Amino acid sequence: MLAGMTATSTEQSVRDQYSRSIARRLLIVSAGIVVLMALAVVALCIGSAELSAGGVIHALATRLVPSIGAPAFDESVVWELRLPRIVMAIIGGAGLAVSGAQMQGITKNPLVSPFTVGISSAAAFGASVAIMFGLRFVGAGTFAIIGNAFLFAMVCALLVFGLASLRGTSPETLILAGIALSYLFSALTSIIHFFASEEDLMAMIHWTFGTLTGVKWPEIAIVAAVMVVCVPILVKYSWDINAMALGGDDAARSLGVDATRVRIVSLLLSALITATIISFTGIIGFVCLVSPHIARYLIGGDHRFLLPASCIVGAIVMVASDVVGRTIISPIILPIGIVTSLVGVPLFLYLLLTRRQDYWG
Amino acid sequence: MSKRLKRALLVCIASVLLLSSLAITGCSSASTENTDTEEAVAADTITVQDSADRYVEVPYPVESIVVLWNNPTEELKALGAVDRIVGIDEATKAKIDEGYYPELADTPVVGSCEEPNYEAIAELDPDVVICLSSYPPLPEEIAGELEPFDIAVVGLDFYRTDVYFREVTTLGAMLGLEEETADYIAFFKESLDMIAERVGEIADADRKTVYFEGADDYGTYGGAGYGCGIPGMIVTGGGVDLYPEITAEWFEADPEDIAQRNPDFIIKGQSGGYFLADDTDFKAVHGAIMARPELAASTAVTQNQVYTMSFDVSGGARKKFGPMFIAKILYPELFEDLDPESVLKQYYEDYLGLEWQGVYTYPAINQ
Repeated sequence: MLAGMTATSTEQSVRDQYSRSIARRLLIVSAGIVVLMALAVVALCIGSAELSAGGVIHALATRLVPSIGAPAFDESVVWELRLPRIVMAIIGGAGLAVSGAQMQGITKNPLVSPFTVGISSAAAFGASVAIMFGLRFVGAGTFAIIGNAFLFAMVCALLVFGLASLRGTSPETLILAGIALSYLFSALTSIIHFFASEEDLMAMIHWTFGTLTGVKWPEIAIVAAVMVVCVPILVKYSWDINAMALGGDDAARSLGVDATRVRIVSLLLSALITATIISFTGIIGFVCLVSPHIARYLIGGDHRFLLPASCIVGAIVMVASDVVGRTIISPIILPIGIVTSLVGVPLFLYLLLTRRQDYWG
Repeated sequence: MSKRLKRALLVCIASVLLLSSLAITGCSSASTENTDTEEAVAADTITVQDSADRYVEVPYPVESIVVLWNNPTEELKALGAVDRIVGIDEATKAKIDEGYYPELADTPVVGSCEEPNYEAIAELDPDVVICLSSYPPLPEEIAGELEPFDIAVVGLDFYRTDVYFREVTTLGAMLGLEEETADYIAFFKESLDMIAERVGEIADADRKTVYFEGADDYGTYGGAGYGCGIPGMIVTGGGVDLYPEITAEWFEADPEDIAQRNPDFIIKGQSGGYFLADDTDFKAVHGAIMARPELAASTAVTQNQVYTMSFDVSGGARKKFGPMFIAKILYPELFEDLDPESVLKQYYEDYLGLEWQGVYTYPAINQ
């Protein structure tokens, strides 16, 4: 009886511990959302145009209630310049981070991200081809660059999948096939750069820096739609990836998890999210590699929490980077692809040096 | 004064300038050395100062040239010396592929300006290599590589309006084409002197501010550094560059800041020009700028002072035309008698051997 009571008590203790752990993680996620919202408000109030916080609120409200009548300039700055880039930073940062977390999960490799498997190199090649062939005029030309970047990124993802599937879609074959294609597309892009004119070369290189300048609401809507479709599917695989991470593919299979299927779907959806985002913004690589690590430090490796936490960290890094990029040497805008590293690395190193436990796994 | 008389006077002035400039830059049309043997050795050389502030001794006249950028190719063509080019770079090759310089179609390519193939250059054994003066590899570095082969290297850019005539003078001196160069300079000076004289009378406060955007949206050029020459072109045309304090050659400008600075004119540079059949593309670019919400209240948009301008009249070696187009756009009332397109047409026909065609601005400046 005593043994039974002890067992019940131990079970209760484990349950309590589990509940506390869940509560702590939910608290961290909630705190992250609060920090993100606060940062977004700050970002909305900062910029080259001299708008007070009141002016920003006035301009925000005017679009919703036109009779309030804020100056047209203020309304344009808030609704057409600042808000689109903040919303794109949030959605884009979340998308890149969730893709990175998923790729690291399915390959069980902390150095992997969608960019490791050649997505960014292929997108840069696609954009460079479009620029090289003079498709830079507005209208059809703008979409040619976006469309070509997206097309080549997805072609690369499918090639990686195809090559890896020849050898059983193991993490190793995914990574090695991706790295090989990454080098191939980088070489092809370099060849185009070599033959490009001065103006074209400048446009190609600028595209690879990544930027949120000029982002429009319809583009945000497309990215958001892709996220709405893909992220729930990735989240649905959280238990499966947890099982694959803890016991390997064989153990996961014994629990009814089709590891190959999880890997293929995750790869393609992560590639789709990343390709969609970077085809509009240019290459922003750091977020998807390091945001999942920061999230893992804060919340652990349970994918049910890791994915939302990665989304929040990615969004925070992107919004903060955007604020720094457009204010630090204003009126020059430092490309966000560069600033994300400047902002994210100190945060990452701080966590690396102050957290003692092994976070991976 | 009649136009012809004025032109003749300008040629004379340019010739005097050319001669004095050669004297100043240490031009030493060197002596011919006679030896005791039967074979006389011609050792004529000239020392020129390039745009990297280097003094370089080159054979006089230079008979064989390798170009490492397409700007010198155009200037050599204009001076009637394109046949002295024995090696070209990738940028020149791209121009040939577009339809320029058919006479160079079979000329060997010796790499790009960023990555010259020194072995190929050495094999061609030119008198001189002409390269950019401030982009790596710098003239000094290229000269170091070619020193064992006794090939001179001269850095000349031909894209900065403030030193353009000096560079053309240097080129003409090397080629031994002083008269042709003087005539060529006079051709441009007629318009550019007129612009300088008239815009010189505009008070600083009355000068128009210009935001010149590159082909990339919000990409623009800093006016404080050596730069790519576009801010200098704006200043020569009588305008005030919107970013005179920025030293970065090219940067992404904050759209809020552009709106805040409220430019009087917006000019969007665009590739294409000579080979455009109509203005459809330029019109679309113009429309996209006019539709930018943050610029809706700007002076440039409200007063319909937004232009698309071809880099064929504002980029590379064509920056010599930029001030003409800009002055005409900014101060049409001052320049009713200036027709930049007719100057361009004459340049095409007389100096480049091209037929007149193309679209260079939208809206057209002669409307």
